[in-house]
Amino acid sequence: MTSKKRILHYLGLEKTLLIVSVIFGMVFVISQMAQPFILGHTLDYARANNSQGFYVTLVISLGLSVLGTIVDYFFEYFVGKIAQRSIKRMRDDVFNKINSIPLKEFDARFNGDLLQLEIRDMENVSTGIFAVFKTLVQGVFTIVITIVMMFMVNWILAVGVIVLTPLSVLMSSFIARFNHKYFKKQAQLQSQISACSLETIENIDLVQSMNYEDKSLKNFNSINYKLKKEGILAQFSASWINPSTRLVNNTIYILIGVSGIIMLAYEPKLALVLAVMSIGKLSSFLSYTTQYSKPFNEISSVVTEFETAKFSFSRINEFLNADNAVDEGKTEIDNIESIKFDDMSFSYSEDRKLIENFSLEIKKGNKVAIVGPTGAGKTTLINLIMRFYEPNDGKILFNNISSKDISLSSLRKQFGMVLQDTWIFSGTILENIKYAKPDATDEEVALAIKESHVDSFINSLPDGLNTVISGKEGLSEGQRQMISIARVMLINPEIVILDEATSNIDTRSEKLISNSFDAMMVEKTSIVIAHRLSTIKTADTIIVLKDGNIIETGNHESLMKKQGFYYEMYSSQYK
Amino acid sequence: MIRKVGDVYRKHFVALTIGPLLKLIEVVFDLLIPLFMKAIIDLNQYGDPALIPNQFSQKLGSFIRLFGTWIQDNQSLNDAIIGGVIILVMGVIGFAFTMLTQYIAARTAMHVGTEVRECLYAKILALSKKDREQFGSGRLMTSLNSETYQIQQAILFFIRLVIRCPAIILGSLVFSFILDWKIGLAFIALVPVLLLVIFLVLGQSSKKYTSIQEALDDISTKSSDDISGARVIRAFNRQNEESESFGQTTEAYQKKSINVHKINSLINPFVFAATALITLLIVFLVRETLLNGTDAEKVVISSTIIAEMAYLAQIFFAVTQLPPVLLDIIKGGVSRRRIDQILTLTPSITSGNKVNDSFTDGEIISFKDVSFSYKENSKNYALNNLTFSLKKNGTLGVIGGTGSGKSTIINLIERFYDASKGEVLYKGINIKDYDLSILRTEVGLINQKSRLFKGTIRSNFLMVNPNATDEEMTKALKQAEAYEFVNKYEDYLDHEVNEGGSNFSGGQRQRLCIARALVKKPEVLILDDSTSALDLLTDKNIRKHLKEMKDVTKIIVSQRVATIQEADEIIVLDKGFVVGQGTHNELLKTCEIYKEIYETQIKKG
Repeated sequence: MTSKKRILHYLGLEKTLLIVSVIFGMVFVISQMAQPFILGHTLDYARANNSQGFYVTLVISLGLSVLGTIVDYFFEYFVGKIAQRSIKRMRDDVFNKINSIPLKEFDARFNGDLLQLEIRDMENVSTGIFAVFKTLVQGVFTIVITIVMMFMVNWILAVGVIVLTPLSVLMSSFIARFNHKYFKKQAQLQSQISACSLETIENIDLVQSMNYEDKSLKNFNSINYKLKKEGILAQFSASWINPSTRLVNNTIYILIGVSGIIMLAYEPKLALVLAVMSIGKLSSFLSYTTQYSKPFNEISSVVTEFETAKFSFSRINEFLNADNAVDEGKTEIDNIESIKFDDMSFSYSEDRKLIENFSLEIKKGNKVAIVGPTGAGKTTLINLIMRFYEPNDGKILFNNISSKDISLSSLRKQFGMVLQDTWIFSGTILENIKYAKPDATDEEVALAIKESHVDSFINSLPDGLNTVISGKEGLSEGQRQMISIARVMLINPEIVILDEATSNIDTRSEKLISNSFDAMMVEKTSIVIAHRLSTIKTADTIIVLKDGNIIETGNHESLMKKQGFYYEMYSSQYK
Repeated sequence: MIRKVGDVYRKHFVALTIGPLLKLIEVVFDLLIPLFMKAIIDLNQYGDPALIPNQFSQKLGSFIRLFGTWIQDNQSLNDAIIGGVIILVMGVIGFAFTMLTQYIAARTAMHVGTEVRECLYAKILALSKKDREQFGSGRLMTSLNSETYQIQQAILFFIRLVIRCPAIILGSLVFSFILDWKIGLAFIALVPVLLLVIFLVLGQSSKKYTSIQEALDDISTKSSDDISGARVIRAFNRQNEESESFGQTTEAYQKKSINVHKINSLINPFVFAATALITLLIVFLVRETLLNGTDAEKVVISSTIIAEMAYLAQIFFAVTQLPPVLLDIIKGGVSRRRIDQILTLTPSITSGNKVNDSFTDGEIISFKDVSFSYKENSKNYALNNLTFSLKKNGTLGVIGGTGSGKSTIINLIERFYDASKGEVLYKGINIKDYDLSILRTEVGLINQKSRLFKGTIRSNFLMVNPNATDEEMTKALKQAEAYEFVNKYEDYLDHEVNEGGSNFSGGQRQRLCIARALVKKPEVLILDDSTSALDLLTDKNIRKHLKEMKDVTKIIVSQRVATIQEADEIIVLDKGFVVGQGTHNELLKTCEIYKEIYETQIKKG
């Protein structure tokens, strides 16, 4: 979708409010422009000693003022409402998009960039919609009405004004186009700044412990100073618009005035051929000229906001246009009896092969462990099973149905997954645990907390389960892992995936947690990745991966007997 | 020394005053243009400046005549063209001055913005963990990005428009006063009322801006939570619930914004109503003269009213232009206060000024009866009465369950926090008095969370030791068992590192972090559970390399007995209490918990 189409789509959702506010805007402009006209009549009545007419016009004028005031309030209020409501929709849409794009595309983006989209870009667009819409509606009506008035006074000068005035708009859009590149550069630097500060703020302990503060500041400043330089250029080039418009308009005013005076000088000869001119007419014409150029001034004064908003919106639009490449299958799946990799190949980037011609079947009720040195492709297998990534070649089959034909949500419903990189969101510990099952009963929660050993530290926290934690602060890694485990235990899934899920938990607790899992997963499938081989000793099948290939399979006893790679890894544990 | 946003403003005081003043020149010229036009018309009517009844017009007319007569046969045409040229020249001069102001505005705004950003960034880096937790990282991000931007905008508008609008109002008042002093007085009374109402409205809305800003913080926190949890959210199928709760957050923001808007929308209609009513009032007041005066009186009063209307329109225009400008300035003020909250916070941990250069041997780190609580004045200690001392080049092992207080020890040695009770000594000097940057240079920490920075492997290494040679880096890679995979990259050390090191696996990242700490060549090396993502073979090899490094003091925090059993001293922690302290063999005899841990690990094996 083009930016234009999309913005119209959002505005279109507020059709009623939009129409009402356009009407209100029009009524306001009319009641505003009518005031001098009515006043003229009031004065004429007075001169003609018509006191009835005098008072009648005064009352009409009063009525129009009241009407204009009310209508103007609602006009402004509605325009603001339209802007805010459209922005809410856009924000929600971008948020949903973040949740629906394939992880492959997601991983390729800067996190800071997405955040920028949700915050700064949205604010820019909201300011833009409000300013531009308001100015445009009132401006257009003012222009139309003034044109009519000017023609009624003197058509030659009217033509002159109409031809000349758009010059200011031409001029400002010329400058705006010229500015575009500076603004683009500025926006790029702004997003670099925000990426840089995000990286620092998230790793600030590390920065401090590395004694890197000075250099970090230097780095930040190298972008910061560039932004200063580009910012000055951008702001300065944008600031040509307003004064230039005023200069053009003043020049037009002078040209019209001088021509009027010249027409006056030749008045008797001209009047017959062209148009009548008088001092009174000239002065009222000049006031119309000012009135006519005013909306052009205002329009050009919001050109900067418009340009910024346009640029931000194009970023939003580009993101919303990104392909939702995960084409979901339709088949609902339940009770997964088998997970099968069929001659599958995968790599993250074309130049580095990772997994080649991989085949494996995992049967229901089994505990399968995947071991191997780091970088062997263990986590990648998980990414593929969960369909975070798609295989480049070959297939993954669930109950002999190709993963591509299965509905994503029905597939993922079967799984409970704990990753090494824990994810804790801002909220209480209880909210974090109940994340995947908000309607869990207190008993269920109590059980999950016990089994996951969250109860070992929860009592030492000031507010227990209701302690507020956040993504970046508080709690140790091990505690976070326990919370993530409780989360999965609570939903009691058909298949559990544990990817180094207990790597930061002490061995005593780990053992107990692992026992709980074994009890919970009887008759169910578990897939476990762990470096501490003690946790996987009980596995039915152990798959030893190296460089993307299975080099050994079997259970603990058979692999130990074999005295191969597994044996070597295992025996190193206590040496 | 800059300590508040105001200090940055003060630094740019000259630009902040001269800038708006230069704009005045354009305003004066702008206000003069209609009068010149009137003079040209009057000249045309009366033929001789001396005959013009109005004094201003007379003077301006003579001024036009000063330039001589160029078109002999048509004096009117001559006057019109000369007058036109004069106005045009004035316009151009005004334009030039305005552009100068615009440049000053752009320059000053960006300078102030950049400087505030710099101060704030430096301040954030200087704050301790505890200090930062007061604000939360979402807030720090907003301040650093949107709020400095807000300040920038405020300065921009301040210089560009803050003088222009009042000057137009003032000028119009003066001219209306000259035309008819009674009406002028009415206008003078009108303006303060207009401004008072505007300020009342803006005062109301500025109060609410703080809460809007907070609602925006919520959106920011929710978004970044969601971005970092992309995998988990998908795995749990929680996309719909996520968007619902995000929808509530944006809804709250929307409601607050619309509420403020309800108030702000009052301004323009009010100005309109006030202007209209004042006009009507003037006409109503002079109705006697208008209806019953002589013809001459009526003409005079009518033309005056028309002229006054024009000035009223000017005031109207300027007054309506003012609010958005003021709004931006108010927003800037709110941002300024929020930034100042961070800037004025005294860091709870500051560097001492002592160093111990003569230290060669002896106790490098000692804890004397140290207790620590994360909450102030709380008796609920995360670590209780810890005493130990570690000799230079010795090895300390710390073992204990999750939440036992292991990481707290590290936090105290790194001075992320200060002890609540007791004292920590580094090289015999209280750590609070020790030079912080030297301390942190000498201590190398390998975290649980292995974080890399965007750049290259080399740039990550150079961060800790700018003088590291390629040989040293290669050596560190080998010691960290990372050489094998790094060497596979064609660009070797210059291999790219994505944001957060996302292009490496967990184990690769951990090994790179270990290598990075080794490149630093620290005197004290702290390993905080830093091999958890490594397979045991690799872990063992790294341990072997570390053991070979004889001139480093090591503190190893781990849950594996195997990792720490050879330490000179081992501290066993349980729920914040020291339950055992001694060598491996001693502990096996004296410490039940240690024995238990050892046995579970061995038995399982």
